[in-house]
Amino acid sequence: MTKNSLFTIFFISLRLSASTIGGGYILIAAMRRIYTERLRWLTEEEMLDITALAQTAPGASAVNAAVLTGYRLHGMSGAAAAVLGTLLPPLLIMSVLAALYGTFHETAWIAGLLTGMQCGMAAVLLHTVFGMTKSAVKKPVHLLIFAVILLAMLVF
Amino acid sequence: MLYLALFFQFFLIGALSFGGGYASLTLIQSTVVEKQGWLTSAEFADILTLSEITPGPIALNAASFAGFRTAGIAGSIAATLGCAAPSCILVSVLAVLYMKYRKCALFSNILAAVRPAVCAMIASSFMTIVSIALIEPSSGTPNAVSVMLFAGTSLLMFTQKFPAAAVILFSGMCGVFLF
Repeated sequence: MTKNSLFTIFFISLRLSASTIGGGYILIAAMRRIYTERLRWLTEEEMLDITALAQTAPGASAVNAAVLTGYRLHGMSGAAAAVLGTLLPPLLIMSVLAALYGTFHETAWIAGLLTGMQCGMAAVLLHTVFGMTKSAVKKPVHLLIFAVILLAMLVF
Repeated sequence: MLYLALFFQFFLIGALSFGGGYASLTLIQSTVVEKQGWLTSAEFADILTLSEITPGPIALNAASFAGFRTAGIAGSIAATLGCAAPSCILVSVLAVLYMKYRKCALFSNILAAVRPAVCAMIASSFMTIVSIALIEPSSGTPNAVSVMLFAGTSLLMFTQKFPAAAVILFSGMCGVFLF
């Protein structure tokens, strides 16, 4: 059980929260990358269930996903460690920015940085969709669900 | 008293923001800017821009920023904890139920049907970001530099084991020089 120690869960959550820029599914993709692909502590199915639950519940999905992964790996104390790790980086970074806040101007290099990061995010999401869909689609009806929901998301 | 107000107002935001991310922006804005006057509209707009280039969910970023501007570091902590508390309580219950019932036949069938839907939602989010990042808004045609950056980072994701955040940051650095 040492591998799932509270400190490790706290540290991974801290690192994910401090380094993952871009909302929505990017954090889920980054979590899947470390917990499912690299460490193999969570299966593709568990990661998909965590995503579904984190998106359905109210509040920031990053916090929701932290509670779910932490609880799955180490019970309630694991959930607390993951949440603490997730909350600290935005708390510190935004407090520093608020303290230094003057007039913030969007400059050309920030626009380039944003577009470049979006290209990388597209790659990360593409990879995540491939990995997750492989284990989620086991019967023809699953493919149908995938296609119908995707179509609905794109049309509406 | 101010700390309590910060905690309570952001507790409400955390409890009522379904759909996450940008869906909760209106709620945050009406509370923080219009009702409480903790931030000006200009400051709120700057938080949106800052949130795009700093890590962390937009709701938590707004909470930390507004809390700090209103009442210093203690205010920042009060607002952040308030914002995260509803999720922690509710999702802990969900987590317990999930671990208890996921092997039960009915629930596991529901989960198996929900999983492809989750994949489809991530796929649609992928397509949205492709249309933003790769397509030139003026002409509607793909931007060659963006397409190459996307292809290169995809290759990295599929063949290497780098963390997702590292690939995104690397891509952003390339963007600074290429765009």
